[in-house]
Amino acid sequence: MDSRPPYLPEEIILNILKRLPVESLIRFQCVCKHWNNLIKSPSFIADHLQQSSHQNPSLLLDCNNSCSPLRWRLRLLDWGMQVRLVQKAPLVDSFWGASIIGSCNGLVCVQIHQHDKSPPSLSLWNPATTAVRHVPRPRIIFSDLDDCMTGFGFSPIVNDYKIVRTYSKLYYEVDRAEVFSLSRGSWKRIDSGNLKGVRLNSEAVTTNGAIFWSGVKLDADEDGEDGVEVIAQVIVSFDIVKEVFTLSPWPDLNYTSGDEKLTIYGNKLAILCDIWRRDNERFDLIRLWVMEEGTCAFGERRNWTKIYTSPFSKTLDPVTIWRNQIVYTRGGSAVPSKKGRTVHLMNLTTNEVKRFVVPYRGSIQNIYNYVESLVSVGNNYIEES
Amino acid sequence: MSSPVEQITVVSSDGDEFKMTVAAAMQSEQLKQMLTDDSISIVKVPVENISTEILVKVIEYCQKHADHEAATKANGGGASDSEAEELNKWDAEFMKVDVEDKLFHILMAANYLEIKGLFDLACQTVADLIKGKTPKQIRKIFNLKNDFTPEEQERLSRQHNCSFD
Repeated sequence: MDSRPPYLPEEIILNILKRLPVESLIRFQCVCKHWNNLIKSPSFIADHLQQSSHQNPSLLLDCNNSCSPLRWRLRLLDWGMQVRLVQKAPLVDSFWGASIIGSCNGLVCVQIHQHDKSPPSLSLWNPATTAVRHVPRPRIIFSDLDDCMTGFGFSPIVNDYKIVRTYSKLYYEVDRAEVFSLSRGSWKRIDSGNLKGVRLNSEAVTTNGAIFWSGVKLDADEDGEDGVEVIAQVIVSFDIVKEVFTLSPWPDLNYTSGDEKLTIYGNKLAILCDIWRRDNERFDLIRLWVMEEGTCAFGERRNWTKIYTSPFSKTLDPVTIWRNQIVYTRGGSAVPSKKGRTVHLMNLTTNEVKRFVVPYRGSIQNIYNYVESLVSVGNNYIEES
Repeated sequence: MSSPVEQITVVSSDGDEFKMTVAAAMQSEQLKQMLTDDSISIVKVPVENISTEILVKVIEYCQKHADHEAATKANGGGASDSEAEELNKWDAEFMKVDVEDKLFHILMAANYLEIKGLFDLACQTVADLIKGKTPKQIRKIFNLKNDFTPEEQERLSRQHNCSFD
């Protein structure tokens, strides 16, 4: 047999390359010009992302310790259930710390807190390629009585990543909003009229070209002196393409006491309920409701389907959904073991519970679905740390 | 009207003939097309760019996977987790070839005969093999030339913190 390797057609080379981790692909950009062009091409980046989502969907864990910079708090859990520290997180030189807004297609949106007179600044970061892009300052004037909420998402229709921000007086209704587009590279003021009387009160989740928050409809008395009263719970959605906010009523999920949290299940908006009392009985279980698809007129009630009820268990804090499992921690007075914090995964089909330990004894702030990709943080102002 | 075929014969580029059961042959989209086309009566199928050594391996893969499919069907549907794992282990052992080139030839054969499972398996095996290698080693494996200018090399080295060696 000929000892030289056979000539491999390009489609085969691409089929091999798309299975490689980002770290290898960055190194292989130095092999030759042809491979450099292949690896940088948008079609390859998209194929690689799809393969990565299928082959190695991961979790990004934000372990909270307000004294620690971001780079010491973040950990990744991969398909093989191995936990490792995220290397080279962006340098956040803010005394007030940083938090994660969300993650999409391998990009992470980081919010850096400032002193009271400035809104938090933002960065887009790809942990796999280590590229960081500081997002330019938003245009809206911010005062020290103001508050803001931020969401991050992607639309395949316009092939663009956007960051949306709403502003309000602290505890009051949304009165301004703007959106940043990665491809445009700038902020744009948008109409927030649909959010009149609404205050957002959760972190954002995103799927299918939309960003969602839970919110409350407020009924302010005329002179505003007695504060505001909550009259209803709502779901706020933001269409990434049209850049428009919509409201829909929060579903009535029929139980006495518990916590509800928006999450994503199978590319649909879902609500994770942590129910800890029914009638006068104390117990703890988790239910998952999924919103049915289809467009709705503004304010119209949607249909929700209960798709899962967990077995009875002790104080559970559900966080998110990953690979058909509910990710949760033991809440309440659970203390970390010597090895660290335990995170549990409950399979929605089999109820089997798996566990992994994060070698960190502080609390886990939040957990995000994450996938490694080559997606660029933008053509301009790229800083690679 | 041709009588039902139970076996076909494939001929390697070296001229050696091998019998394959129809079930095994159906693992290949190419052979499957020929078998299901009544207008073709198959006697011998020459596979001109596949040597005897490689063809033997390919037939082995097809037969194993055909047997597994038949066993799964007999059990009424889905393979159990342990059966799937056993097949994965077999696949992993199967791909342990002594010479790297053999791996590429299997890859090319799977591509030519359109055997999806073997093709994906071979691509993944190559990916796992090369992921830790240096650019220099990659060039050797794929027979590629370093066509960057010294200035380009320097810029890339700085950007990606990689060595050209």
